Amino acid sequence: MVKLPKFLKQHRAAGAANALLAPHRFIDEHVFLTKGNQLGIALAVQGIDCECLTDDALDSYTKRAVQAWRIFDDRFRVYQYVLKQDRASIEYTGDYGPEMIRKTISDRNAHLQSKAPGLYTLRLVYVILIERSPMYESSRVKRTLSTKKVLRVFADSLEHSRATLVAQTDSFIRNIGDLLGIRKLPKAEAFQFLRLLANLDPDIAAADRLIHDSHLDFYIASSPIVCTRDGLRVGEAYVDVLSLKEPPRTTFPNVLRDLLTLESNFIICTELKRVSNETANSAIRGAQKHFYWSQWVSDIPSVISMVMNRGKRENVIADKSALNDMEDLDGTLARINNDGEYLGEFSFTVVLYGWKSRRELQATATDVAKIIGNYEGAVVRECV
Amino acid sequence: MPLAIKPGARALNKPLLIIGIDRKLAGLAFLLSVIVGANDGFLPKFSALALFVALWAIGRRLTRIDSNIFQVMNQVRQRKTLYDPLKREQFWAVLTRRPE
Repeated sequence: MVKLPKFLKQHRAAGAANALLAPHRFIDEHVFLTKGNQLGIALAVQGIDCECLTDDALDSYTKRAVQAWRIFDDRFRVYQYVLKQDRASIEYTGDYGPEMIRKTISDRNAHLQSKAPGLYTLRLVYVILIERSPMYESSRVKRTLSTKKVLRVFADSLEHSRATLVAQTDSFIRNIGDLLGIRKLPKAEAFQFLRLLANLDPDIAAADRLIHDSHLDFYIASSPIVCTRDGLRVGEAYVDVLSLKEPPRTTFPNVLRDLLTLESNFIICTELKRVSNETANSAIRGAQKHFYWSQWVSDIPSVISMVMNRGKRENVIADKSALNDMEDLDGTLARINNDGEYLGEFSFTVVLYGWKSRRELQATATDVAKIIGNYEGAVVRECV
Repeated sequence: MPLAIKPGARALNKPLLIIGIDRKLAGLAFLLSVIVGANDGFLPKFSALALFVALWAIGRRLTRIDSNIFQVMNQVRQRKTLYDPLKREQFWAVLTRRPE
Protein backbone atom coordinates (compact mmCIF):
# COMPACT_ATOMS: atom_id res chain seq x y z
CA MET A 1 0.00 0.00 0.00
CA VAL A 2 1.29 3.46 -0.91
CA LYS A 3 1.84 5.70 2.08
CA LEU A 4 0.51 9.13 1.12
CA PRO A 5 2.32 11.14 3.86
CA LYS A 6 5.66 9.99 2.44
CA PHE A 7 4.79 11.64 -0.88
CA LEU A 8 3.29 14.74 0.69
CA LYS A 9 6.23 15.35 3.02
CA GLN A 10 8.50 16.83 0.35
CA HIS A 11 5.67 18.94 -1.04
CA ARG A 12 4.87 20.30 2.42
CA ALA A 13 8.55 21.07 3.11
CA ALA A 14 8.97 22.90 -0.19
CA GLY A 15 8.49 26.63 -0.41
CA ALA A 16 6.48 28.38 -3.10
CA ALA A 17 8.66 29.75 -5.89
CA ASN A 18 6.30 32.68 -6.37
CA ALA A 19 7.05 33.84 -2.82
CA LEU A 20 10.61 34.68 -3.93
CA LEU A 21 9.52 36.88 -6.83
CA ALA A 22 8.55 40.52 -6.40
CA PRO A 23 6.51 41.48 -9.52
CA HIS A 24 2.79 41.46 -8.82
CA ARG A 25 0.86 42.87 -11.80
CA PHE A 26 1.00 45.16 -14.81
CA ILE A 27 -0.97 48.35 -14.34
CA ASP A 28 -0.57 49.60 -17.91
CA GLU A 29 1.21 48.71 -21.16
CA HIS A 30 4.68 49.23 -19.66
CA VAL A 31 4.50 49.67 -15.88
CA PHE A 32 4.31 46.86 -13.33
CA LEU A 33 3.60 46.90 -9.61
CA THR A 34 5.62 44.85 -7.14
CA LYS A 35 4.58 43.27 -3.86
CA GLY A 36 6.72 45.86 -2.07
CA ASN A 37 4.48 48.64 -3.44
CA GLN A 38 7.06 49.76 -6.01
CA LEU A 39 6.35 50.59 -9.62
CA GLY A 40 8.75 49.42 -12.30
CA ILE A 41 9.45 49.81 -15.98
CA ALA A 42 11.82 47.74 -18.15
CA LEU A 43 13.92 49.30 -20.89
CA ALA A 44 15.69 47.41 -23.69
CA VAL A 45 19.06 48.89 -24.57
CA GLN A 46 21.07 48.40 -27.75
CA GLY A 47 24.29 49.70 -26.17
CA ILE A 48 27.47 50.99 -27.75
CA ASP A 49 30.03 49.00 -29.69
CA CYS A 50 32.99 50.07 -27.58
CA GLU A 51 35.60 48.22 -29.65
CA CYS A 52 35.58 50.86 -32.38
CA LEU A 53 35.73 53.87 -30.07
CA THR A 54 38.70 56.00 -29.14
CA ASP A 55 39.29 56.82 -25.48
CA ASP A 56 38.09 60.39 -26.09
CA ALA A 57 34.81 59.21 -27.59
CA LEU A 58 34.28 56.66 -24.81
CA ASP A 59 34.96 59.29 -22.16
CA SER A 60 32.56 61.73 -23.78
CA TYR A 61 29.80 59.08 -24.06
CA THR A 62 30.34 58.10 -20.42
CA LYS A 63 29.98 61.71 -19.29
CA ARG A 64 26.71 61.96 -21.21
CA ALA A 65 25.44 58.76 -19.64
CA VAL A 66 26.45 59.92 -16.14
CA GLN A 67 24.55 63.17 -16.64
CA ALA A 68 21.49 61.30 -17.91
CA TRP A 69 21.44 58.93 -14.90
CA ARG A 70 21.29 61.90 -12.52
CA ILE A 71 17.61 62.27 -13.30
CA PHE A 72 16.87 59.30 -11.03
CA ASP A 73 17.04 60.66 -7.49
CA ASP A 74 16.80 58.82 -4.17
CA ARG A 75 13.19 57.76 -4.83
CA PHE A 76 14.37 55.44 -7.60
CA ARG A 77 16.16 52.11 -7.64
CA VAL A 78 18.01 51.35 -10.87
CA TYR A 79 18.84 47.83 -12.05
CA GLN A 80 21.10 47.13 -15.02
CA TYR A 81 21.15 43.63 -16.50
CA VAL A 82 23.60 42.13 -18.96
CA LEU A 83 22.51 38.74 -20.25
CA LYS A 84 24.84 36.52 -22.24
CA GLN A 85 23.31 33.37 -23.68
CA ASP A 86 24.66 30.63 -25.88
CA ARG A 87 22.71 28.88 -28.65
CA ALA A 88 22.41 32.17 -30.50
CA SER A 89 20.05 32.09 -33.46
CA ILE A 90 21.53 33.42 -36.71
CA GLU A 91 19.27 35.72 -38.67
CA TYR A 92 19.15 34.86 -42.35
CA THR A 93 17.00 36.17 -45.14
CA GLY A 94 17.46 34.33 -48.40
CA ASP A 95 16.24 37.09 -50.76
CA TYR A 96 19.62 38.36 -51.94
CA GLY A 97 19.75 39.16 -55.64
CA PRO A 98 23.07 38.09 -57.15
CA GLU A 99 23.95 34.42 -56.90
CA MET A 100 27.48 35.15 -55.67
CA ILE A 101 26.24 37.19 -52.65
CA ARG A 102 23.62 34.57 -51.84
CA LYS A 103 26.22 31.80 -51.90
CA THR A 104 28.72 33.81 -49.82
CA ILE A 105 26.13 34.55 -47.15
CA SER A 106 24.86 31.00 -47.21
CA ASP A 107 28.43 29.65 -46.73
CA ARG A 108 29.03 32.09 -43.90
CA ASN A 109 25.83 31.03 -42.16
CA ALA A 110 26.74 27.36 -42.60
CA HIS A 111 30.11 28.09 -41.01
CA LEU A 112 28.52 29.95 -38.09
CA GLN A 113 25.91 27.21 -37.63
CA SER A 114 28.69 24.63 -37.40
CA LYS A 115 30.06 26.40 -34.30
CA ALA A 116 26.73 27.36 -32.77
CA PRO A 117 27.60 26.42 -29.16
CA GLY A 118 30.36 29.05 -29.20
CA LEU A 119 28.08 31.84 -30.39
CA TYR A 120 26.46 34.04 -27.80
CA THR A 121 23.91 36.80 -27.75
CA LEU A 122 24.32 39.82 -25.50
CA ARG A 123 21.31 41.64 -24.21
CA LEU A 124 21.12 44.79 -22.08
CA VAL A 125 18.08 45.68 -20.01
CA TYR A 126 17.51 48.46 -17.50
CA VAL A 127 14.75 48.22 -14.91
CA ILE A 128 13.76 51.41 -13.14
CA LEU A 129 11.76 51.13 -9.92
CA ILE A 130 10.15 53.99 -8.08
CA GLU A 131 9.72 53.32 -4.39
CA ARG A 132 6.43 54.43 -2.94
CA SER A 133 5.68 54.96 0.70
CA PRO A 134 3.84 52.04 2.35
CA MET A 135 0.06 52.11 2.23
CA TYR A 136 -0.54 53.82 5.54
CA GLU A 137 -3.87 53.70 7.22
CA SER A 138 -4.40 57.25 8.31
CA SER A 139 -6.86 57.45 11.19
CA ARG A 140 -8.11 60.84 9.94
CA VAL A 141 -8.73 59.44 6.48
CA LYS A 142 -10.44 56.41 7.97
CA ARG A 143 -12.75 58.52 10.13
CA THR A 144 -13.75 60.90 7.39
CA LEU A 145 -13.84 58.67 4.33
CA SER A 146 -15.52 55.42 3.44
CA THR A 147 -13.52 52.36 2.40
CA LYS A 148 -14.31 53.14 -1.21
CA LYS A 149 -12.93 56.65 -0.83
CA VAL A 150 -9.81 55.38 0.96
CA LEU A 151 -9.18 53.05 -1.95
CA ARG A 152 -9.61 56.00 -4.29
CA VAL A 153 -6.95 57.90 -2.34
CA PHE A 154 -4.59 54.95 -2.76
CA ALA A 155 -5.45 54.72 -6.46
CA ASP A 156 -4.66 58.45 -6.87
CA SER A 157 -1.33 57.93 -5.11
CA LEU A 158 -0.56 54.99 -7.39
CA GLU A 159 -1.44 57.04 -10.46
CA HIS A 160 0.77 59.90 -9.26
CA SER A 161 3.75 57.55 -8.82
CA ARG A 162 3.09 55.98 -12.22
CA ALA A 163 3.03 59.39 -13.89
CA THR A 164 6.30 60.35 -12.15
CA LEU A 165 8.00 57.11 -13.21
CA VAL A 166 6.85 57.40 -16.83
CA ALA A 167 7.81 61.11 -17.04
CA GLN A 168 11.28 60.55 -15.61
CA THR A 169 11.88 57.51 -17.80
CA ASP A 170 10.73 59.38 -20.93
CA SER A 171 13.05 62.22 -20.04
CA PHE A 172 15.92 59.75 -19.59
CA ILE A 173 15.19 58.21 -22.99
CA ARG A 174 15.10 61.67 -24.63
CA ASN A 175 18.46 62.51 -23.06
CA ILE A 176 20.40 59.39 -23.90
CA GLY A 177 18.15 57.28 -26.13
CA ASP A 178 19.95 58.33 -29.34
CA LEU A 179 23.28 57.15 -27.89
CA LEU A 180 22.19 53.91 -26.25
CA GLY A 181 19.19 52.97 -28.40
CA ILE A 182 16.68 52.67 -25.56
CA ARG A 183 13.07 51.63 -25.87
CA LYS A 184 10.44 50.79 -23.29
CA LEU A 185 9.55 47.11 -23.21
CA PRO A 186 5.85 46.41 -23.74
CA LYS A 187 4.35 44.24 -21.04
CA ALA A 188 4.50 41.04 -23.12
CA GLU A 189 8.26 41.48 -23.67
CA ALA A 190 8.84 42.57 -20.08
CA PHE A 191 7.06 39.40 -18.97
CA GLN A 192 9.36 37.30 -21.18
CA PHE A 193 12.38 39.07 -19.69
CA LEU A 194 11.20 38.42 -16.13
CA ARG A 195 10.57 34.77 -17.03
CA LEU A 196 14.11 34.51 -18.37
CA LEU A 197 15.50 35.87 -15.11
CA ALA A 198 13.46 33.40 -13.06
CA ASN A 199 13.94 30.29 -15.22
CA LEU A 200 17.30 30.94 -16.97
CA ASP A 201 16.47 28.58 -19.85
CA PRO A 202 15.41 30.64 -22.92
CA ASP A 203 13.23 27.81 -24.22
CA ILE A 204 11.30 27.56 -20.95
CA ALA A 205 11.07 31.35 -20.76
CA ALA A 206 9.60 31.55 -24.26
CA ALA A 207 7.16 28.69 -23.65
CA ASP A 208 4.64 30.80 -21.75
CA ARG A 209 3.08 34.06 -22.83
CA LEU A 210 1.42 36.82 -20.86
CA ILE A 211 -2.26 36.04 -20.48
CA HIS A 212 -3.23 37.79 -17.24
CA ASP A 213 -1.97 41.17 -16.04
CA SER A 214 -2.11 40.02 -12.44
CA HIS A 215 -0.38 37.24 -10.42
CA LEU A 216 2.85 37.73 -12.36
CA ASP A 217 4.91 36.09 -9.61
CA PHE A 218 3.05 32.81 -10.11
CA TYR A 219 3.20 32.84 -13.92
CA ILE A 220 6.85 33.91 -14.09
CA ALA A 221 8.18 30.84 -12.27
CA SER A 222 8.18 27.57 -14.22
CA SER A 223 11.31 25.89 -12.88
CA PRO A 224 11.97 24.48 -9.42
CA ILE A 225 14.80 26.02 -7.43
CA VAL A 226 16.77 23.37 -5.58
CA CYS A 227 19.52 23.97 -3.05
CA THR A 228 21.67 20.86 -2.57
CA ARG A 229 25.06 20.10 -1.05
CA ASP A 230 26.56 20.45 -4.54
CA GLY A 231 25.10 23.92 -5.00
CA LEU A 232 22.13 25.68 -6.49
CA ARG A 233 20.06 24.48 -9.44
CA VAL A 234 17.29 26.24 -11.30
CA GLY A 235 15.40 23.63 -13.30
CA GLU A 236 18.11 21.64 -15.08
CA ALA A 237 20.67 24.46 -14.96
CA TYR A 238 23.63 24.51 -12.61
CA VAL A 239 23.96 27.95 -11.04
CA ASP A 240 26.82 29.81 -9.40
CA VAL A 241 26.38 33.26 -7.88
CA LEU A 242 29.12 35.79 -7.15
CA SER A 243 28.61 39.10 -5.35
CA LEU A 244 30.89 42.09 -5.04
CA LYS A 245 32.46 42.16 -1.60
CA GLU A 246 34.96 44.94 -2.05
CA PRO A 247 34.69 47.57 -4.80
CA PRO A 248 37.64 48.20 -7.16
CA ARG A 249 40.17 50.82 -6.05
CA THR A 250 39.44 52.89 -9.15
CA THR A 251 36.89 52.76 -11.92
CA PHE A 252 36.92 54.06 -15.48
CA PRO A 253 34.63 53.76 -18.51
CA ASN A 254 34.07 50.16 -19.62
CA VAL A 255 35.93 48.78 -16.62
CA LEU A 256 34.10 45.43 -16.79
CA ARG A 257 34.68 44.75 -20.49
CA ASP A 258 36.68 41.58 -19.74
CA LEU A 259 33.58 39.98 -18.24
CA LEU A 260 31.95 40.00 -21.67
CA THR A 261 34.63 37.66 -23.02
CA LEU A 262 33.72 34.86 -20.58
CA GLU A 263 32.76 31.67 -22.42
CA SER A 264 29.66 31.00 -20.35
CA ASN A 265 26.02 31.88 -19.92
CA PHE A 266 25.65 34.60 -17.36
CA ILE A 267 23.49 37.38 -16.02
CA ILE A 268 25.22 40.40 -14.54
CA CYS A 269 23.00 42.56 -12.39
CA THR A 270 23.84 45.86 -10.76
CA GLU A 271 21.53 47.66 -8.41
CA LEU A 272 21.88 51.31 -7.45
CA LYS A 273 19.81 53.26 -4.94
CA ARG A 274 21.02 56.81 -4.72
CA VAL A 275 21.18 58.34 -1.25
CA SER A 276 20.70 62.00 -0.50
CA ASN A 277 23.82 64.08 0.11
CA GLU A 278 22.77 64.69 3.73
CA THR A 279 22.58 60.94 4.38
CA ALA A 280 25.90 60.36 2.63
CA ASN A 281 27.61 63.14 4.62
CA SER A 282 26.22 61.73 7.84
CA ALA A 283 27.41 58.17 6.99
CA ILE A 284 30.88 59.44 6.07
CA ARG A 285 31.18 61.50 9.25
CA GLY A 286 30.13 58.45 11.32
CA ALA A 287 32.75 56.28 9.60
CA GLN A 288 35.41 58.96 10.10
CA LYS A 289 34.66 59.09 13.84
CA HIS A 290 34.89 55.33 14.00
CA PHE A 291 38.26 55.19 12.19
CA TYR A 292 39.61 58.04 14.34
CA TRP A 293 38.94 56.09 17.54
CA SER A 294 39.72 52.67 16.10
CA GLN A 295 43.33 53.67 15.49
CA TRP A 296 43.79 53.34 19.29
CA VAL A 297 41.69 50.21 19.85
CA SER A 298 42.64 48.10 16.85
CA ASP A 299 43.87 45.15 18.93
CA ILE A 300 43.66 43.72 22.45
CA PRO A 301 47.20 44.76 23.62
CA SER A 302 46.41 48.41 22.74
CA VAL A 303 43.21 48.27 24.79
CA ILE A 304 44.98 46.66 27.77
CA SER A 305 47.77 49.26 27.54
CA MET A 306 45.24 52.12 27.57
CA VAL A 307 43.36 50.58 30.52
CA MET A 308 46.61 50.10 32.48
CA ASN A 309 47.67 53.71 31.79
CA ARG A 310 44.24 55.14 32.68
CA GLY A 311 43.39 56.17 29.14
CA LYS A 312 46.75 57.68 28.19
CA ARG A 313 47.65 56.92 24.59
CA GLU A 314 51.37 57.70 24.61
CA ASN A 315 52.42 54.05 24.78
CA VAL A 316 49.92 52.84 22.18
CA ILE A 317 51.08 52.38 18.60
CA ALA A 318 48.36 54.00 16.46
CA ASP A 319 46.99 52.07 13.52
CA LYS A 320 48.05 54.19 10.51
CA SER A 321 45.71 52.36 8.14
CA ALA A 322 42.76 53.84 10.06
CA LEU A 323 44.20 57.32 9.42
CA ASN A 324 44.52 56.50 5.72
CA ASP A 325 40.86 55.49 5.73
CA MET A 326 40.01 58.86 7.28
CA GLU A 327 41.86 60.65 4.49
CA ASP A 328 40.09 58.52 1.90
CA LEU A 329 36.75 59.51 3.46
CA ASP A 330 37.83 63.17 3.41
CA GLY A 331 38.37 62.85 -0.34
CA THR A 332 34.94 61.25 -0.79
CA LEU A 333 33.33 64.05 1.22
CA ALA A 334 35.05 66.68 -0.92
CA ARG A 335 33.90 64.97 -4.12
CA ILE A 336 30.30 65.05 -2.89
CA ASN A 337 30.25 68.59 -1.53
CA ASN A 338 32.56 70.30 -4.03
CA ASP A 339 32.50 68.27 -7.24
CA GLY A 340 28.78 67.46 -7.41
CA GLU A 341 29.15 63.68 -7.20
CA TYR A 342 26.68 61.53 -5.33
CA LEU A 343 26.75 58.24 -3.45
CA GLY A 344 24.38 55.31 -3.55
CA GLU A 345 23.84 51.82 -2.22
CA PHE A 346 25.31 49.58 -4.89
CA SER A 347 25.33 45.86 -5.43
CA PHE A 348 26.93 43.84 -8.20
CA THR A 349 26.01 40.22 -8.81
CA VAL A 350 27.13 37.74 -11.45
CA VAL A 351 24.93 34.69 -11.98
CA LEU A 352 26.73 32.00 -13.97
CA TYR A 353 24.73 29.10 -15.30
CA GLY A 354 25.09 26.16 -17.63
CA TRP A 355 23.73 22.72 -18.34
CA LYS A 356 26.88 20.66 -18.87
CA SER A 357 28.67 20.41 -15.55
CA ARG A 358 29.36 22.32 -12.38
CA ARG A 359 33.12 22.04 -12.95
CA GLU A 360 32.96 24.43 -15.94
CA LEU A 361 31.06 26.96 -13.84
CA GLN A 362 33.71 26.78 -11.14
CA ALA A 363 36.40 27.58 -13.70
CA THR A 364 34.38 30.55 -14.97
CA ALA A 365 33.75 31.73 -11.41
CA THR A 366 37.51 31.76 -10.87
CA ASP A 367 37.88 33.87 -14.04
CA VAL A 368 35.31 36.36 -12.73
CA ALA A 369 37.17 36.64 -9.41
CA LYS A 370 40.41 37.18 -11.34
CA ILE A 371 38.92 39.92 -13.55
CA ILE A 372 37.54 41.81 -10.54
CA GLY A 373 40.79 41.15 -8.67
CA ASN A 374 42.76 42.84 -11.48
CA TYR A 375 41.20 46.11 -10.33
CA GLU A 376 41.83 45.31 -6.65
CA GLY A 377 38.19 44.44 -5.99
CA ALA A 378 36.91 41.20 -4.51
CA VAL A 379 33.91 38.98 -5.14
CA VAL A 380 32.51 36.30 -2.90
CA ARG A 381 30.94 33.05 -4.12
CA GLU A 382 27.48 32.67 -2.64
CA CYS A 383 27.05 28.99 -3.55
CA VAL A 384 29.97 27.16 -1.98
CA MET B 1 43.37 62.11 -23.68
CA PRO B 2 43.38 59.21 -21.18
CA LEU B 3 40.12 57.87 -19.73
CA ALA B 4 38.78 59.65 -16.65
CA ILE B 5 39.61 57.55 -13.62
CA LYS B 6 37.37 57.76 -10.55
CA PRO B 7 38.52 56.52 -7.15
CA GLY B 8 36.24 54.02 -5.41
CA ALA B 9 35.02 54.82 -1.89
CA ARG B 10 36.74 51.79 -0.36
CA ALA B 11 36.95 53.13 3.19
CA LEU B 12 33.20 53.64 3.22
CA ASN B 13 32.67 49.96 2.37
CA LYS B 14 34.96 48.62 5.06
CA PRO B 15 33.30 46.84 7.98
CA LEU B 16 33.52 48.97 11.13
CA LEU B 17 35.53 46.81 13.52
CA ILE B 18 36.76 47.32 17.09
CA ILE B 19 39.47 44.95 18.36
CA GLY B 20 38.87 42.82 15.30
CA ILE B 21 35.12 42.31 15.71
CA ASP B 22 32.06 44.20 14.54
CA ARG B 23 31.56 47.28 16.70
CA LYS B 24 27.99 46.28 17.63
CA LEU B 25 29.24 42.87 18.80
CA ALA B 26 32.08 44.56 20.68
CA GLY B 27 29.58 46.88 22.38
CA LEU B 28 27.34 43.95 23.29
CA ALA B 29 30.27 41.94 24.71
CA PHE B 30 31.42 44.95 26.73
CA LEU B 31 27.92 45.69 28.06
CA LEU B 32 27.27 42.09 29.12
CA SER B 33 30.67 41.95 30.83
CA VAL B 34 29.99 45.18 32.70
CA ILE B 35 26.62 43.87 33.89
CA VAL B 36 28.19 40.61 35.11
CA GLY B 37 31.17 42.39 36.67
CA ALA B 38 29.10 45.02 38.48
CA ASN B 39 28.62 42.76 41.53
CA ASP B 40 31.08 42.94 44.42
CA GLY B 41 33.77 40.32 44.87
CA PHE B 42 36.52 38.69 42.87
CA LEU B 43 34.41 35.98 41.22
CA PRO B 44 32.05 38.35 39.31
CA LYS B 45 35.04 40.39 38.08
CA PHE B 46 36.81 37.26 36.92
CA SER B 47 33.59 35.95 35.32
CA ALA B 48 33.14 39.27 33.51
CA LEU B 49 36.66 39.09 32.11
CA ALA B 50 36.20 35.46 31.07
CA LEU B 51 32.84 36.31 29.48
CA PHE B 52 34.35 39.22 27.55
CA VAL B 53 37.22 37.08 26.25
CA ALA B 54 34.82 34.26 25.28
CA LEU B 55 32.44 36.63 23.48
CA TRP B 56 35.36 38.34 21.78
CA ALA B 57 36.75 34.97 20.57
CA ILE B 58 33.35 33.92 19.22
CA GLY B 59 32.83 37.32 17.58
CA ARG B 60 36.30 37.23 16.05
CA ARG B 61 35.67 33.81 14.58
CA LEU B 62 32.29 34.85 13.14
CA THR B 63 33.64 38.16 11.79
CA ARG B 64 36.38 36.30 9.94
CA ILE B 65 33.72 34.29 8.11
CA ASP B 66 31.60 37.34 7.29
CA SER B 67 31.27 40.70 9.00
CA ASN B 68 27.48 40.54 8.51
CA ILE B 69 27.21 36.93 9.62
CA PHE B 70 24.09 37.42 11.77
CA GLN B 71 22.14 38.98 8.92
CA VAL B 72 23.26 36.16 6.62
CA MET B 73 22.28 33.52 9.19
CA ASN B 74 18.89 35.14 9.64
CA GLN B 75 18.32 35.03 5.87
CA VAL B 76 19.48 31.41 5.63
CA ARG B 77 17.14 30.40 8.47
CA GLN B 78 14.15 31.58 6.46
CA ARG B 79 15.18 29.78 3.26
CA LYS B 80 14.08 26.34 2.13
CA THR B 81 15.94 23.73 0.12
CA LEU B 82 13.30 23.38 -2.58
CA TYR B 83 10.97 25.92 -4.18
CA ASP B 84 8.14 24.49 -6.19
CA PRO B 85 6.79 26.60 -9.09
CA LEU B 86 3.37 24.96 -8.81
CA LYS B 87 2.97 25.65 -5.13
CA ARG B 88 1.35 28.97 -4.44
CA GLU B 89 1.69 31.33 -1.54
CA GLN B 90 -0.97 33.96 -1.15
CA PHE B 91 0.08 37.56 -1.13
CA TRP B 92 -1.81 40.03 1.05
CA ALA B 93 -1.49 43.78 0.98
CA VAL B 94 -1.65 44.91 4.59
CA LEU B 95 -2.45 48.45 5.69
CA THR B 96 -0.26 49.60 8.53
CA ARG B 97 -0.87 52.49 10.87
CA ARG B 98 1.04 55.64 10.00
CA PRO B 99 3.71 56.34 12.61
CA GLU B 100 2.87 59.48 14.62
